Amino acid sequence: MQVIKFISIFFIFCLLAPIAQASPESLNGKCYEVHTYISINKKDAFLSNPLQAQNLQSVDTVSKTGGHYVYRANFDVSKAEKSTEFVIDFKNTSTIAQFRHRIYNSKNQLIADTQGGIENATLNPFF
Amino acid sequence: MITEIISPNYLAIPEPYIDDRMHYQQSIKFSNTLTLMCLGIFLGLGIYYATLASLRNSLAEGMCACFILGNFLLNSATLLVLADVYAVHSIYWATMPILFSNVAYVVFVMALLEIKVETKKRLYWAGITIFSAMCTFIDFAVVFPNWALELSRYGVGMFLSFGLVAAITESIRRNPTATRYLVAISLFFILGLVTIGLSKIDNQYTFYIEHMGLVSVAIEVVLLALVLSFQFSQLVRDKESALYQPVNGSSVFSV
Repeated sequence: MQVIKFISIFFIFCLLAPIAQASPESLNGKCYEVHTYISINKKDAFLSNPLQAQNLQSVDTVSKTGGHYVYRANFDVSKAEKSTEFVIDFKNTSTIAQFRHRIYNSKNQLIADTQGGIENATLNPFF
Repeated sequence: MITEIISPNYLAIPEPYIDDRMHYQQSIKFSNTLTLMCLGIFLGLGIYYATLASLRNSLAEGMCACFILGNFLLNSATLLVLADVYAVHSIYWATMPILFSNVAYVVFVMALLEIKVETKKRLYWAGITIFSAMCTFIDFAVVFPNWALELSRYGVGMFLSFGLVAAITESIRRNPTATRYLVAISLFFILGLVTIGLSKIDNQYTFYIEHMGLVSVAIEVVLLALVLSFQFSQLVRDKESALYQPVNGSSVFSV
């Protein structure tokens, strides 16, 4: 029973450790569905120009059984210091086969384009 | 910003967020430590159970080792250890192993609590039903891989309930192993249900649902170590009492 107590206290400490800090920001964007999962044989490709994608249905959440989704959000980094570097990542889960982030400036010019995911061979800058 | 995601399964709802690099680098250290630590527990205990199983030729330890192996593979894949470190880029490692480890867990419970058709009829048939349902799930998931995670979610719910019910009924029948096992399964039942029920965690950016599952299985396998070593010590005790105190003049025998 001593062992059980020790283990549970240990895990509680592990869980509490990161709660103290806060700085990341949710983007509060909107989610659109391109289509739900079709079949294993059809390799899905990213949209060539997501800015001009038409007829996308706005959805509240992704389907648990897969699909192709587009997430749009706006954010403002003009107040940050010039030298600050930013990281974009997903919360809640890391089980994503393919993803691609494209960032446009206020004139709709593409300024950053990165991709990754479990099925993507692009090297991950962080572990 | 526009983010596209394509995947046959979503374990939870992926929501993009932005963070500054300094803070991000610090905060992922914690989750990475947790991941590697729990995977280490799986690896160590997995090897330990596999050794015990081969030495004692026992089904319970063998199935426990299979259960751990499935979880080890799944969590290495979902938490990107396989993809980032070993360059294994298949989403199926992140979905399929749990279907097999679910089956292993049901067989493990039946072997541990000695659920046999002659003695515990109802539990036995419940176990067999769940076992065959899970085998159907595997076939179904091979044909429709996008359902794999949903099916494993149902599978986890099924084996948790089965384990809990079996542990409670056997504890009432004063099976000492079952009483110890009840402690392990109760905690796992709660944590497991939370894991399969959640689809997002508020205010936590680097602690994923995957970590939640990882931690609950890690706690479970550590507690199972206590159950199995109790069973082992009881075996030794039984053997010694049988050797040194022959009852009613019966001959000395060894186990």
